[in-house]
Amino acid sequence: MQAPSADAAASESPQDSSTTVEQFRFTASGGEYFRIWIVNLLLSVVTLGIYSAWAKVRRMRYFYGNTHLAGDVFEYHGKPQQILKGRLIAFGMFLLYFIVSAVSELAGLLLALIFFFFVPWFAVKALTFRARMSSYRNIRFNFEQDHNGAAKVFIGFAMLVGVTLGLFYPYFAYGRSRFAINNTSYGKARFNLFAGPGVFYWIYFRAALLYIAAIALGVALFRVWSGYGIDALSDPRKVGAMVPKLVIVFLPLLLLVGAFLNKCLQNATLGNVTIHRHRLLSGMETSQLFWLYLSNTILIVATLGIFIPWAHVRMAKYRFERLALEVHGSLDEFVAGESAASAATGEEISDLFDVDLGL
Amino acid sequence: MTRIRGQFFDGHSSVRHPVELEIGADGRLRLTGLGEVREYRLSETEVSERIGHTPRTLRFADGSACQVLDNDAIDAVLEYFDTTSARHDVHRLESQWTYAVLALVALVAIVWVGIEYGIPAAARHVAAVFPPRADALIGTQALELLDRGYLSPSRLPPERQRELREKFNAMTRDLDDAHEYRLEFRQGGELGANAFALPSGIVVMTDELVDLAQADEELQVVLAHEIGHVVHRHSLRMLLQNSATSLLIIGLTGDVSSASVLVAGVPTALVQAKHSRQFENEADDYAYAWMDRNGVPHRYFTDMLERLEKKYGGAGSGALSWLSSHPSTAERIRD
Repeated sequence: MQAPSADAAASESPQDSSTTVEQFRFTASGGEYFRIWIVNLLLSVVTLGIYSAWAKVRRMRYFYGNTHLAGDVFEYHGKPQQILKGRLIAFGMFLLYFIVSAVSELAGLLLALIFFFFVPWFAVKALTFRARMSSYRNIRFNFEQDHNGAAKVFIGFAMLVGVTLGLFYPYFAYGRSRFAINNTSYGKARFNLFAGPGVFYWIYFRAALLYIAAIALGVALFRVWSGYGIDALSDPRKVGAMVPKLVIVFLPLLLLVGAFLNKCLQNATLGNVTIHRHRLLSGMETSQLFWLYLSNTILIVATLGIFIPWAHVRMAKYRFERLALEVHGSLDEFVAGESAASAATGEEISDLFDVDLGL
Repeated sequence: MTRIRGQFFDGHSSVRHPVELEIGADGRLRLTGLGEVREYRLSETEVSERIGHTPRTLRFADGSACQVLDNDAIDAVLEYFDTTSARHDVHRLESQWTYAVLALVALVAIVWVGIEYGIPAAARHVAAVFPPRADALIGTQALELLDRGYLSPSRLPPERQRELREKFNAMTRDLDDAHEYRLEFRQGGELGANAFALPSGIVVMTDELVDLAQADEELQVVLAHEIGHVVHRHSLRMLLQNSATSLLIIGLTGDVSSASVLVAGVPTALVQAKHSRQFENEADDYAYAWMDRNGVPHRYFTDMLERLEKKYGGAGSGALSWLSSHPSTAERIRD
């Protein structure tokens, strides 16, 4: 935070047409976050989960408050009461689904179908809450409540994915990212994703090839190492001896595929976004992300979970280190939009049901 | 008078204004460095909570805000004026390694007690709320699915089936817990010598098990064990415990994007296996109590368990015993 004076001097000429690259920085430390995390967990467990809403606010404020751009940090504004309300509703729905599907699989399927038709609504609510509860330089982000657009993506496109046996999936992923990004604004300025669906098809095509190659390689390695084929898994007496070797062979391979896919998706979405006259730049690399995934997984398992907070911080640090904003002119030109309240239900339900919003 | 450096944002534009805050003894904040001097009352200013070393936000009544990095200076001011936001109990816990280690120890202890006693006790109480007839609703299709996938019609002679059914009926006649007890016979196929209870009260026994037994008492002890599962409503309680466990583990591990299956799946499986072994023990308790009531020597149960182990291998041996749904045979044999 020594930099602000220099930055301030640079931004004093608003008609500046120069181009600068502002690097995102993430300054959290694993040790500091561990202490926040463990207190959050303990208080959440002691209060039977009630405190988890307060815990989430502290966690979000800590992460936002450590995310720097051009000398200033982001701020999270969510209130624990809103989040608690959302969590209670989500918990109720989870319980309902669990009980109903245990009693009758048919009724469970029916309920899941009903939930499916509510996904667009949840998605809009979640994205709206997340945007409106975020600010930078005391200007809030916002999300256009485009329910028709959401229905098109989360029902229409999602059904097409099923009909085409997955061939439509890249387009769905594209539509989802586009929906999430293009409806988001910072103050009065809209974000815009300028990548097309072709980029997503190319990513998933390469990821699918890599996945097939990884599985083939894994099966071959496993056969050489253990002397068994994969089909020996159906013999319960051999499974015990096989599981550790299976994990050692397949975990790195699958994490590699995951790292490749996520790196490509992040670069394709965040790296192709403009806001106002500025542009985001994203330069993640597969090898670095793979190393992070692998080391985090090994350390989390080896420390029985204690490493989790360090893993979160390392992950966020890498993401932001690889993200920059190409500033054309100055960052002083944004103006605030209208403000409106937003309930937390959508985001919390999405959290619990793991609705992947792709951003 | 305290002077603190900060960054001022008016809430209308993204322009940053470096300012100095002066806090007077009258509880007024004076901001200098903007064109004009601005004044706000501290009592009308919302100060964000202290979290780690992140900057604090002072939010003023007109929507403008000031970000300040000097946490200690802000806290000193708040303490001086004794405002309610001066209390940072949570931050105090978070700032010391001693507390963090204590929290970790307490957490491990609470989670262990919760898994060992808390969740099972809670499930027992919640299960008591549901009428026993509700048990029949769980897994109505279970037998149908087993019949389609694993089991085939029994080849036991009808008179042998009748004989065993009469013994089973005698064992369940005095139970008035609204379960409809019924004994069914099937060929086990892949499942081999086996017996299992459905929550409604139907107990299924395989021909292979009947063949393996050397005395009817051995079969009756196995039936008593299965009846124990029904009487203690293990299916319903397992359902409740599994959902509680899933929620607990998801809550504890949170969203760890890399390899979340390993991080959340393994502990969940371990806890569920542990709970399953607790239920097996309870069903064994029931079987032992039945033997004692009816003067049946324990060796019938012991013999049967040992024969099953010889034929199919131990339920839990080596590292996999933690994942096993049944306690080891050695643990199950009691004097």
